[in-house]
Amino acid sequence: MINAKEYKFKDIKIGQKEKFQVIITKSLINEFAQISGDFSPLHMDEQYANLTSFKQRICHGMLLASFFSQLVGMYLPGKNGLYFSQSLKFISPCFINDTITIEGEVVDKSNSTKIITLKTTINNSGKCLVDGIAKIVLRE
Amino acid sequence: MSKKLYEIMSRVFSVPILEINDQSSPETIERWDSFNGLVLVDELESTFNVKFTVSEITDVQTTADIKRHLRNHGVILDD
Repeated sequence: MINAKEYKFKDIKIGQKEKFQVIITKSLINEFAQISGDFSPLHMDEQYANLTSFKQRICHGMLLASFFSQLVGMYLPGKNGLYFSQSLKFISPCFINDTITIEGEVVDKSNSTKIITLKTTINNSGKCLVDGIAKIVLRE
Repeated sequence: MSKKLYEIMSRVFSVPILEINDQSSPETIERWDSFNGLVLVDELESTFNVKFTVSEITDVQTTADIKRHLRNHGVILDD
């Protein structure tokens, strides 16, 4: 397990970026269903999903969004950050065995509130799957 | 600008807009706590495209103080 980064407010620069990758597996989707209680057949039933326009099971959108938690808590800014808000737009579906890249870029910082604003994205081979804006309070 | 400011405060503090005036403060609005104060500053900076200093934030006692700081940042008031 990696150690959480420790960026302080003064260390953060506009344009600063961090990213990491995850492979979306069946077990991740199944585990998320257990945690969230979302057993929609679109995510869980291959035969059902095959009859939809997606032709196969799709990953929960909120499972994808949950990786923003790792981005903020472990990478940018890491342990000194406290989530303030997160907006989400689900743009394209994600399928089993897709390799996704989760990325955050600092687009603003406020000296008065110690809040940094990140443009947060999830891509699969350059195709945007999820888009959003995160605001994080730096405790240091 | 006051109407816009009061609308933001009404939403952030979950109080009817008619209950907000220039004397409104953390003493008169129950949900004006440190966290919601942070939410308010963030919304004001985004809405009015200003950046407050720490000293401006700590100087705020009432809504009138907020308006004064917004004016100092060039925000035009309609009252």
